Amino acid sequence: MKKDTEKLLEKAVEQVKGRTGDSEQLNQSASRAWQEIERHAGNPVSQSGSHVSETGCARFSRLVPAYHNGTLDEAQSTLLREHMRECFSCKSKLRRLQSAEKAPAAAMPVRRTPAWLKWGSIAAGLMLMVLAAQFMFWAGMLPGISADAITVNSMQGIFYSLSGREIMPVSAGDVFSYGETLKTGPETAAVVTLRDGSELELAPRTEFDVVGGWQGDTVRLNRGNIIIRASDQGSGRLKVLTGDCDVAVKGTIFSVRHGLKGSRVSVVEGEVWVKKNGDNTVLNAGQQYTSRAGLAPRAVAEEVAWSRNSSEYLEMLAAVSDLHRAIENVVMSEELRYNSGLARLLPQDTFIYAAAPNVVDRAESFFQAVEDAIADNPRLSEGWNSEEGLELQSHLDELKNVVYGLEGVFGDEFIMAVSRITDSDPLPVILAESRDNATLVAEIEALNDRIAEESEGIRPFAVIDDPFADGLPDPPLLAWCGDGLFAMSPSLELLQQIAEADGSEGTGGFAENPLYEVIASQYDQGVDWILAVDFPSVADLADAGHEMTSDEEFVNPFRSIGSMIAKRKLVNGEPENQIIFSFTEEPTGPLAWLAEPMPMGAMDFVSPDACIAAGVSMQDPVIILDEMLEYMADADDGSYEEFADLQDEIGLDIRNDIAASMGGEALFALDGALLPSPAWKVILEVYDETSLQNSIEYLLSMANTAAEAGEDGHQLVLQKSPVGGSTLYSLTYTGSDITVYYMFVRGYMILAPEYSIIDKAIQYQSTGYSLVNSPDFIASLPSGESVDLSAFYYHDFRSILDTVKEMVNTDGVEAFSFLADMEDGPAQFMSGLYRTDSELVISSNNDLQDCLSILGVVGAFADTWEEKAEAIQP
Amino acid sequence: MSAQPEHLTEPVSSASLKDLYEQHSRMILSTAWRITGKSDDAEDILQLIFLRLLKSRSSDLEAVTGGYLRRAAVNASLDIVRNRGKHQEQSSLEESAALRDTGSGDNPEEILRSHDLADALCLALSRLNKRAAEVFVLREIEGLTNDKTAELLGTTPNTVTVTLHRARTSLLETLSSWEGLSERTR
Repeated sequence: MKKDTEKLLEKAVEQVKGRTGDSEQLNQSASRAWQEIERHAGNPVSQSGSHVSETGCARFSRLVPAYHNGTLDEAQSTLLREHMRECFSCKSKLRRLQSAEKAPAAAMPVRRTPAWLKWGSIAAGLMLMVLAAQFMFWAGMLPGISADAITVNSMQGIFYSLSGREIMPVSAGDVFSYGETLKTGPETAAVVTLRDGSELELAPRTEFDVVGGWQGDTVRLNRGNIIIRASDQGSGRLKVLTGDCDVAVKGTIFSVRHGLKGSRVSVVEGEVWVKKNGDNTVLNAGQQYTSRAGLAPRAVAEEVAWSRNSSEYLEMLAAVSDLHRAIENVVMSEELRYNSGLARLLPQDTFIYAAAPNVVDRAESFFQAVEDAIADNPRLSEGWNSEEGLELQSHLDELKNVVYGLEGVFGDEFIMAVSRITDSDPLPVILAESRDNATLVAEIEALNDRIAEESEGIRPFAVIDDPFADGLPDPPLLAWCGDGLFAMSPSLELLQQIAEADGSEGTGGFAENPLYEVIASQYDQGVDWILAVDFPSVADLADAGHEMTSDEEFVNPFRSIGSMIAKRKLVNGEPENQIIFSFTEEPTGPLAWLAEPMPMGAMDFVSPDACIAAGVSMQDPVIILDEMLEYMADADDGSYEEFADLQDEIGLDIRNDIAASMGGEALFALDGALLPSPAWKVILEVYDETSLQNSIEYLLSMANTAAEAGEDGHQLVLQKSPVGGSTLYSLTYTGSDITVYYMFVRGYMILAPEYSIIDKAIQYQSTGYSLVNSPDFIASLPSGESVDLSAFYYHDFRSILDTVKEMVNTDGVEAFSFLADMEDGPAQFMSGLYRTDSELVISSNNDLQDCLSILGVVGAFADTWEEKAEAIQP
Repeated sequence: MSAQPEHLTEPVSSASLKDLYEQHSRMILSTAWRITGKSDDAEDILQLIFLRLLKSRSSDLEAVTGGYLRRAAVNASLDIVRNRGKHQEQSSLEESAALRDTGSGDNPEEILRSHDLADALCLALSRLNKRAAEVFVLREIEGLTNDKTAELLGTTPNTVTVTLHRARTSLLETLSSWEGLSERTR
């Protein structure tokens, strides 16, 4: 028997050895295969910068259904699997087919099984399960293992899972295991269910995963906003970890928002426990917790307004609105002003309004602080005591005399406004409460006398006590010192209108102006310094007689702005500077393209040591392009047709091949050495890297073809190299030695002048050693109610200064030694911008001079920088 | 520019790839054809191997030898046979289950009767330990010496001898069981 089988084996071996084609067949096969290889890779193979064949992918794409059905032969299946390792599009197609199959799978017929076997199996199975569960319980193995930890209930928009460096599209009905990271795109709404029945509603750009535990599931929220309708947890608890606080619940409805500036937990119903640094806080319905002092509370109703169940939540919250108001009041500082009795006296057509605290009463301490600062700084002291400095001091002394004389005369606030009365030209006015008319009049007259002495008898101020009196003088400025009111304006008519409003205890009409409402809302929050401008009125002044073309209207960012508020105040001891543009209508053009505040994952690729970083979160590029195309079509100026012709000429669908491949985030950073050349990087969000890369390669091939026909013939050479499971691309222009490298990593495209910068960026992202986790960066984040930002600019002054000092010192230029003094200033500057449906807010916790100082230093040393860089360059 | 990754060198050029293709494509086709038994499969394997090479670095390409390509062909071919076998077994088992349900018979290896001897051997090879299968093909089917096989696999000739012996024993057992089944179902 054994010998027979051995013979059989020998025979089989001989048969195998003998089954191959003859020389001619082999040549034909080899020839066919080579053609296919060229077709798949793009023809010819050697031109790595050429377009990867559309037909290759299209061919594979056609094979996907057969592969899914199991009817594709093995060789083709192997080739397709190989292709899908790199082709997002084909992989997505397969995934969709697999997802679509899941629903009917439940309806498949079940084979008949004998009853005794069935019940016996069930009993045996149960016993095994109990034993296994007990064992796994003691072994601590059970909770973290589940293939269906998360089920996607519904979704609209882009939703994907992150696995390693790959992104995979997610469909409704998909299930995911513990530890799998899911992320929603912009304009995406999705609802997922956990194993315990808890429902998570996901806002756009939310990234999270779920881990199992004996006490219940834990949602790890990397960024974004979720509203959780927690099921009854029995003896366990559902937890949410945000990195800066832990939230635990039993059965309740609550929202957790986590972003750059911290976390905000808002409770709609039930009770929520929040733990941070060992401190526990219990929140009830309507209450809110913020993980950082700089993150202002926001109405709970607003926090959940985006939910599909918002009306239900708002009803719940109405019952606890009193409590909500009490929470808001906590943040108001006693030093701020919460109302202005003077603003109501202004005429209705007031379009510029500025209010400042009574700086006169603070003048003494202000001047003292200035003099102390000068005395402490030898360099400033030297200038202060020079001839010019002494002259300046004499003028300052005069000013002090005037200001000190007015101390205690005025109320808490000065108002400066520009108004129109009955179609007049714009008229300025200054208002303040007068607490001592006699002193006020005496000081103004004394000032008049001093000015008259120096200016040939001209007395600029005419002090009046009744604007309606006969025979009033007509000097440049009328200073009315009324009963408890001081008003100064060149217009007697304006003063009369204010006097009428003051006498009747009514209003001058400003309260009926929409700008007044905007200002009043700012007073509700407390103001210190504030400037409010009615934009259309100012724009009318600036553009009087100029009619905008439709082109200008579309891109004019001010078109939809109703008002602008610029304010500065201290919040929890930190300066808060904000400029708020309120929209009167849905903005168009660049303003509309800015996304609402969303988590910016690109920041994870930037280190805490970055000198400069700036990022923006835009709307979906497809939406932006569609809006532009719609405008171009409406404009009927031929631009739409030109765009269509361009697409035809280059053979590329810009909307679907490029715009649809791109996400909304873009970030630039100087992160690393600044010499010999700055270590810059650009990080772009990408949804479909395969499609984008194909488009890039195609465009390169087009550009190179065009260049061949040109005079210099320089080419753009694209090279590819596998790096850690991904591909590193390098793009070199043969006309210079400039090379740009890029890689696609976890839904982002990272570009840099060196591979090492990209490699480090990936490490920052994977290890969490990133700017967003830097205490300095977090501390510099502007306060305000938005957790995230639509755009931001950040610089670390000390990093840049170190480089400048190094250059200066090595050059031995002592004249720049004052740079050392600048180290005492604020190290980080941060300015953030966020847009909502109704307004655009620019916010910073730093002073403007902090920003300007760095620009000044960089500008001053630009030449030295260049020389230094050339010297270091090998 | 600062240091770049060492592997970032020139992309694969058509000349070097074409040279390799000219030298070894027929050998790859022959090997794959023998194991899969199909010219179409062999062509696909040839494509697969060279498409992978296309994505590799030029420095890697220089290291590619005929032996490496032969191993690649053997493994890719066995993968195809292995997957083919799984699908066939699955459909066979489903058919058998259906037959059992209808009381028509009990013959899960029914499908093997349709194979010729060469196919049966390749199917049996695909079920072996991958290393053992590779050794058997290189030695017995491709006709490489012990030393050459050991060199290709990065092992010693003795190991090749032992692995080959185990592979033969295993194959004999498999073929024997199939032979018995075939006898019984005839």
